[in-house]
Amino acid sequence: MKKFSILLLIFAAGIILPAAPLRHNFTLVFKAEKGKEISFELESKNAGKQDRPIILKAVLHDDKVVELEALPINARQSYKLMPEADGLCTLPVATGGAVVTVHPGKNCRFAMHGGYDRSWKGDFIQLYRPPANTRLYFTVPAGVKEFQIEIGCNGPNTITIINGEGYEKVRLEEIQNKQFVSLKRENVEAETWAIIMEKCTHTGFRFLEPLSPVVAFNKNDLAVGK
Amino acid sequence: MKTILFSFLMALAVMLSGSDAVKASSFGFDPVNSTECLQKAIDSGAKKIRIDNTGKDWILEPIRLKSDQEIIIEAGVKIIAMAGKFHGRGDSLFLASKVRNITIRGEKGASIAMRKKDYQNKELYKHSEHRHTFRLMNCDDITIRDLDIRSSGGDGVYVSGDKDRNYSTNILLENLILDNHHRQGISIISVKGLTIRNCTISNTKGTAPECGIDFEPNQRDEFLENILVENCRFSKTMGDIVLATRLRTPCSITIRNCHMSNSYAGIMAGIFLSPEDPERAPPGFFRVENCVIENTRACAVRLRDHRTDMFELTLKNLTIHNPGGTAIQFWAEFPVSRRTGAAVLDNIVIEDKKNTGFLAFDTRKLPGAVLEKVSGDVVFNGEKFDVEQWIKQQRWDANEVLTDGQIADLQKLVPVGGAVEKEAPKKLKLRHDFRYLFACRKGVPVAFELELISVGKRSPTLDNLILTGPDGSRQWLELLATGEKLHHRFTPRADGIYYLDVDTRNMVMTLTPQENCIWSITPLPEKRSGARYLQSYGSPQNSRLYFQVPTGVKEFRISAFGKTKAIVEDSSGKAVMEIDNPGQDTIYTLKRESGKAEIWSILIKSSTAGLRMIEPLSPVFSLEKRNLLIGN
Repeated sequence: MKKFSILLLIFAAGIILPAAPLRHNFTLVFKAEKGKEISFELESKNAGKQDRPIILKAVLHDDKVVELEALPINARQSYKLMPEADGLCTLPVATGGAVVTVHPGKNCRFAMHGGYDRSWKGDFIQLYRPPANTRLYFTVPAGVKEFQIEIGCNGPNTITIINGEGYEKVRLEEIQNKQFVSLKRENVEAETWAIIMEKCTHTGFRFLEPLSPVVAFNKNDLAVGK
Repeated sequence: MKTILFSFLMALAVMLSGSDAVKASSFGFDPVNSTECLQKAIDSGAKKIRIDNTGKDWILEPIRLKSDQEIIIEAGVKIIAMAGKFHGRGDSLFLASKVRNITIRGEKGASIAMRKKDYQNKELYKHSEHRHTFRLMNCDDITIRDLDIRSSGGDGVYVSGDKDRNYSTNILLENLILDNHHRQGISIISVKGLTIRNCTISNTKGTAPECGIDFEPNQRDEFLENILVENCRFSKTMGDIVLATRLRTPCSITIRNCHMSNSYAGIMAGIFLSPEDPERAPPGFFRVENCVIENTRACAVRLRDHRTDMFELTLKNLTIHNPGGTAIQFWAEFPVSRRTGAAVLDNIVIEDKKNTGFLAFDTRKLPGAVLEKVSGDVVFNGEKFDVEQWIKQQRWDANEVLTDGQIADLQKLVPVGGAVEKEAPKKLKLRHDFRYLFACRKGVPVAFELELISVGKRSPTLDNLILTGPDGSRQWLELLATGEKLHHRFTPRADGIYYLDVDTRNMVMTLTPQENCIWSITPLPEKRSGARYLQSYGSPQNSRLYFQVPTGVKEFRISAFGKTKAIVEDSSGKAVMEIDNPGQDTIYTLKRESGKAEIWSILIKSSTAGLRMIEPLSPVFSLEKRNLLIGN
């Protein structure tokens, strides 16, 4: 298991994007600066049978666990984290059958991965009916020429994967169920690629080693394993 | 015991009222919250209830009406919606659901007011357009009259059916003042038998459509049957009478002896047919007679998509003063409405010092549509016109479908070439759907900058800008937010034309060439009609667009609409045609002696323009002559 502290965040001003709802298990990874309060809102909606509030415990840089107010289903609540050191704060979320959307506020730059309970091994990061053309950025590490992503869809989905220059490497039209996508490249430098969810229902992505499971909606928020 | 007590209370209430009516206050009037008292009175089953003047206002939460009652609001009584209540998005002051035979009437000075300002305060209330004063659903024989009804968070009166029966019947609304409502004075969703008489409707403002009376069924099998609106006055709405319907049931509406003033429009009727079900045009009639419409901002009458096989449409004995835009407007928008019209305009007198015509036919969204079967006579600024003849003169009845110019083969386009012009071209701000074309050579980098500029309050991010190469490669550009600039540099992998399709989502876009950028523009088909208009908005004056007149073409046509002001210049720079504020889609025919291929230009004088090239012209424009891409 990798330690959070060995992750760096690339950061710059980002575009405010339409929020995409996340489902099931994931962990939010926030850029932390000592004394700079991070504010954000979480919005939950029922997308199944879940009716119990979602329990939230944030992990600050020094592994200190802070219990946050539980998020009821079909609610939107404000949250604040006060980092005690520079680095990262994490917030594991298990939505059950509900979906959760993150609305970033002040000092809130975040990436995420599909793991829960502080595991960086990663699992499917799952999105539920994201806005058309939502982008999910991920890193292809230096030296990696071939890699795989597993895509799981519930309903017909159209998904494009673009390379660091924006060129389409794969376009999957109206796909359903699970499938592995194998990708190749000539470049050996570290690059930021993206999955573009042109039309998606309930969709999950799993990034197989040597890829990092960390993804972000905003290219500039992507957390990169060093 | 309960029955005995109730009978005693009833007898006491009747006795106190001094007539056969019960006094509502005898059920326990509380000036802080009178809801329970009035609801008890209504639930008592008394045939007649007097909401009596206790010297205090009646403060109410939602009240549910019962059948077979007359409710009299005594002289001077004020009914006021309770502050801090009505948080439900459908909370109405008086709900009548599946009830019949009710009269609610006021005596002199009786009034009902809700708290529109509070409902419009986002800090206090969730947005809603359904906090009505009276909500009548699946009701029969309801009369509401002699009342001053103000400031609802929706409509003054709302009439509909429900899931058990999709209409109400026999509704009379008489002598009502309906002022300052959030959405509409009156909304009619579905009714069989309705009279609205001697009502004054004004100052509707809050949420669209902000009409006086809105006839707007939700479903196609609902009803607008046997409706009469007479002797009513309207002012300061976004449309005094609005008909917006997808009905396929017969429609019968008469509007007569009404006065409409100082609104956005007087009469607006839009009748929309589903492309999947184009044959189900509703029969019946919509008549407007003996009305005065004056001082409107947009027009007196606007009739949208009234297809010729739909219900009869009659405008008779209308007097129109200062209509703002052209007094009577026909619009054709949906492909199923290619043949619009079928109206009688009989004895219409228009005084209008601003506009040059009395009738407009707007086909911007449906070029090639025709206006036919419109007859009658109009006196416009003292001069009498035969409407049918006038339409013929405008050629609006000509069944001529113009075909947009086409690019035969994108990859055969080549730049005109030549020297860089001394003066840098003006930045044209383009709007809606268009395609940037780039002439590229393999391995020679190209760079440009896009800017997305805000129009209005929206600020979308463009997330699907894709540069497509002649080799089929597709490169997704970075996201472009409103107000931002996006620099893009790419190295072509093949010779030929690369293209970038843009839908500005109502914003406007400029392109600044930066490196090896030889570029032109071609409009893309408008989503609904398929017409290819190049549209600019907020551009600097005197922007110039070059285009090619192909070999052998001696006569050609350009279409323009809206506020376009432009001068067409031939290849020698001589002005040959002026386009001056055409309003509706207008065809301009140009001729020349030469049969050679030539580069002409359009000097755009207005900040807003819409231009369309008709076959055999190529729909390719450029801001610099040398960059124009022409057929090889």
